[in-house]
Amino acid sequence: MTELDCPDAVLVIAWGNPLREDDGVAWHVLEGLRRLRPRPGLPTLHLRHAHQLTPEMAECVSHATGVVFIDARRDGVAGALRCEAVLPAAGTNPLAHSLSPQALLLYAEALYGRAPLAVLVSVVGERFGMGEGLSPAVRRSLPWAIRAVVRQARAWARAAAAAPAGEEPAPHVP
Amino acid sequence: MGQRIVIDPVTRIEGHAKISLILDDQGEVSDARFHVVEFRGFEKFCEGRSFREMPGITSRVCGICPVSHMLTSAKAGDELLAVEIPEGATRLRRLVHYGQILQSHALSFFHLSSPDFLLGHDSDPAKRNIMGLVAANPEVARRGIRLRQFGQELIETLSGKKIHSTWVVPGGVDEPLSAEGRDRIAKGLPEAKESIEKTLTFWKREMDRHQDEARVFGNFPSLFMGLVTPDGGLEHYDGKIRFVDATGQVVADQLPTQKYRDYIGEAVEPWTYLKFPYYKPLGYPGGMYRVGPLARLNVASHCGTPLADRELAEFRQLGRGAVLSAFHYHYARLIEILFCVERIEELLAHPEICTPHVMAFARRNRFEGVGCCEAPRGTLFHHYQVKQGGLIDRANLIIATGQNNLAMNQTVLQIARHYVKGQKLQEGMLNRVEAGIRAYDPCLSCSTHAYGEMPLVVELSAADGRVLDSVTRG
Repeated sequence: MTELDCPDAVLVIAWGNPLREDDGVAWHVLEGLRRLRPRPGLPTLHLRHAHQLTPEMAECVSHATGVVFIDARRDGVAGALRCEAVLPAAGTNPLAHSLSPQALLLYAEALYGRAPLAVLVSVVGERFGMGEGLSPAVRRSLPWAIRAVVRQARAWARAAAAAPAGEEPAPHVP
Repeated sequence: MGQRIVIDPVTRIEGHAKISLILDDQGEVSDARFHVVEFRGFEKFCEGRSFREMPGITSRVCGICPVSHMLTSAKAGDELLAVEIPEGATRLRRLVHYGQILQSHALSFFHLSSPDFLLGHDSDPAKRNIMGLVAANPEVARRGIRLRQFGQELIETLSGKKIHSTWVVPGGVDEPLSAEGRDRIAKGLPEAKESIEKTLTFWKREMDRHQDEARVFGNFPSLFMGLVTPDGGLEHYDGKIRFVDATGQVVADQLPTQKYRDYIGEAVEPWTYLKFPYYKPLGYPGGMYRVGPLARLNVASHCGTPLADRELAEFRQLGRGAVLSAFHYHYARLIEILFCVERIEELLAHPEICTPHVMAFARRNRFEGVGCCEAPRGTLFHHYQVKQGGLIDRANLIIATGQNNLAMNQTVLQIARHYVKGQKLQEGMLNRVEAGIRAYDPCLSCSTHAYGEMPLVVELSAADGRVLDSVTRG
């Protein structure tokens, strides 16, 4: 990702490994978003997939109008969907290579002066072994996850249109 | 009654390791061991695979330096095909290689090691990490992240992916470089050059505060090994092998990489999965040698680019002949980053850099091939023997980090003898032992590494198992 790739757009970052079954749900959501036809009120989406969130993504994040993170989770009922606001924070992830969404936002803020609005759309998975393909419950949740991303992007676009010129829009709490 | 201190795991390195320190009856460190506790098995499970698959398979040895494995494997494949690849392919392979070295060195210096230098070995481990660096010195942190980003984006522009691409293949590369891709990479050069020059200036000032570390971090005589050009210059992709001793005298020169078994032996020990390569004429363990950035700058008579040569002249003043202290691996890495930036600039300006002729086509013509490159951490060999049909019969990989194994063990011992005293353990002592290992930037073939927040328990036990002291981190 470079600065040129994502100015003035909603950045959608899907991370996880498509070769580890439900861990790849975010990649499948991304593919669904890629197939979407343009529709009114939907801002430009910049779609990115990564195995891990890394510090090098911070610059691109800082330029986006908003960031939607998509990931798999292990806690809860398989296929359940959660959409939650993400704020910059150091987090508890000790791995230098793999940042949390909160830590990535913190990097963007500390290094480039801006952390945009962000949400995490997560799907509870049940199979994380070696293999491609999703479990049935997770596969059924894909359209809902795609709608969640689209709904969030539209909400930000509406808020941006309503905000006075030069101001950041008020945060949308999903 | 002997005692043992164990540091498990070692933090902020690639892969998993532990360190054992053995105390004698007087409480002095008598021995030290650097144990590598992970086992990958690539040499075995690649048997039966096509040699054409090996670049893609072996790139997964590592997430930090996959390009090095991909290149070295493809070079072994070139030998099996018995082809001379097009010059256009060689240029592109070199280009991606320089991007790889640059981003790997940036990771090592800024992410893994600079928290120790800038925040102090005795600082709070919870803050002695890249996050702490961002808070304490955002400019340095930003420079490091963007340097690594430049290298990674170069790799992605050329090969389609930042890690684990399959672009380099036996015979050449899969796709040429587009004019748009060339221009995109070139756009990042001025900032990359400025960043590394500023970092070198900063580091040369900063080194004065670390005289103690420079004195005891792996500061001992050894051989050094690396690839050189026909005229003895710094080389990372091709060339032949040179050994120099601690005085800088050439011990062996222009050794063909295909004949590595004539001059490199491999020993094993029961307490680690990492092998112990040694220089055969001097036997084991007397034939200890070091590889990597420090070794490369010691074996090369010159870099061949103006800015890097200027830095090399200054660097050489740190030693009489060869620069010996492993602490100066950090400095050597920065000079190599500068060299890579200069070489990338030259290559992008080549009128044929976007040529479509990047592949030679052939079938298998030999049954044995050896590929060799300088990975960021040192010289890397892939040796394949194949059966009819090109299936791997036997594979031998000599990984860069393994060649520093003897030296890393000796480094740990030297540091521990200087800093670990008595029966009380202090965080700063242990971090210095770890920092000595980190100077080598070992890649234990997994791209995991953890901050000082990783739970770490060190126990000092008597020979009868009584716990005398313990330090818990995290």
